[in-house]
Amino acid sequence: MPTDEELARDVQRGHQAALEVLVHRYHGPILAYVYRLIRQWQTAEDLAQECFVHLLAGIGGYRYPRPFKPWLYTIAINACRDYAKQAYVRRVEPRPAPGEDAPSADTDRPDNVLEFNEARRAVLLALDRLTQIQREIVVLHLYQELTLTEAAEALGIPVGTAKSRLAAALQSLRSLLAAEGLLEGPPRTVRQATTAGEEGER
Amino acid sequence: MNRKSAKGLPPVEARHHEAAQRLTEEVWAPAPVSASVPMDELATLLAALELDAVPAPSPSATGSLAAELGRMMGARRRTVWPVKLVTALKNLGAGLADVVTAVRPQVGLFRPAFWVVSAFVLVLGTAAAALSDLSLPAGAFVALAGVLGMAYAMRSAAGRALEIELSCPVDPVSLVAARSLIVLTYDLVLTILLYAAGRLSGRAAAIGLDGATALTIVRLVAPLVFFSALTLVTTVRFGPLYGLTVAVIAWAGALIVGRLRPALDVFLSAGWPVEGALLGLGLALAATALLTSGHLATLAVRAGGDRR
Repeated sequence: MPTDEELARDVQRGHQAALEVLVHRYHGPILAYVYRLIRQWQTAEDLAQECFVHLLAGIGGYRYPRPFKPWLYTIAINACRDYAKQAYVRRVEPRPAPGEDAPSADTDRPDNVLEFNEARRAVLLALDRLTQIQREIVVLHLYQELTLTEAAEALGIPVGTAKSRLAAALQSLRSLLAAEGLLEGPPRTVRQATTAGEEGER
Repeated sequence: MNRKSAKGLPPVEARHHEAAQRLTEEVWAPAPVSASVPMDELATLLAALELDAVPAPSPSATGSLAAELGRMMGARRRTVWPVKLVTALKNLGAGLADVVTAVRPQVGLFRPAFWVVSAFVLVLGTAAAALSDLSLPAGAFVALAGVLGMAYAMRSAAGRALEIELSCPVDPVSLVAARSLIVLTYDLVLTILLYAAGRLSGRAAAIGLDGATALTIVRLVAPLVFFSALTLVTTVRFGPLYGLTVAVIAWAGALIVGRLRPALDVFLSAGWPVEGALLGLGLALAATALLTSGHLATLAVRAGGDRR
């Protein structure tokens, strides 16, 4: 099976089949990344498509054999940052993905469904309360499974900075979920949790 | 290790503990254990994060995207050179339109004194040198006109002058680029006229305008670009007074050095290497000025504060 880097080189040479493989390999991950950052399903679908259009337009800038994944995620990161800068974003309500709020198979009893929804709401709220740069590293490393080195390269920061951002984000998440009673850690107020995150960031 | 969590969280499994172990090692490895999140809590946290599951795109959506991108790629490959040329020209046209949009409002903000003084320095200076026994090369006056013009154009950097405010919402880079372009274009036009006049009058040798046409023009343009860019970069970084002072001292220094050591005369040098180096250095300085022109805003604010 060709590697991402080999496929990207083939795309540079004009091979459509290679592009098709890359799209099938990365459409889901890029869509998931964008959605987790902006929480707007339809916009996320549009932005993910735009990322691939940018990939095609900018493929000449990719240098084989450098890792392709961070290069592609950089496009997605920039797309999300540009979207976040738009003024109207502040007025848009989050729209979940279709079927996203459906309970899992083992939550068949009504009280389980309630607990599931409550826990899910708390987790999403905690993720949304992270700063943008903390959310980026959490999503890249914990959800999209980029290594810290790849995530740092995609974000254009040193690995040490990526580590400290991730550590601060995990501390914040722990405090936020503890405040919601979902973790056993020392419960702290949301204000304290946010401050801890900001201190870690500094 | 497989247990169902309370409060609706997914069960914490062995893989969560392994992931927590891995995460602790890579994030907190050199730090004291007290700084990290306890392993059990981290495993629960990782299990909790799984509640944020995102559905995969439908295969048909991915298929359509791949097909559309394939079409785009095919279209790009099939594009023949005339189409590429037309696209390039359109892009160039759009770029020029942007430049004109930035320059046009600035032209009106240059007072008549700028146009007159630049022409006077250049024309009268060179004419005086040609008619007297000063034996000063025309390049020296071209450079001086550039310095004065640039100092005039950027004088408001530290003064929060009307021009800057009227130029809003132009960003500092566009502002500096547009105003520098006006000065350089005007001086270049004057320089070319001067060159033509020098050739026609038959006194070209007296002001260093003899020799091959291309080299002579570069001999005039290189000092203009270098000294203008020196004024610009110093003004943008330190303020207009420093810009003018440094550039005039450098200009006078270059004249004196040229008199003492003709081989180092930047206004009347021996050939391409010196002119080329001077031109390259000038362009590098201009690029530096543009890249650091965000500093203008700081200067303006500082000057405004000082004035208050």
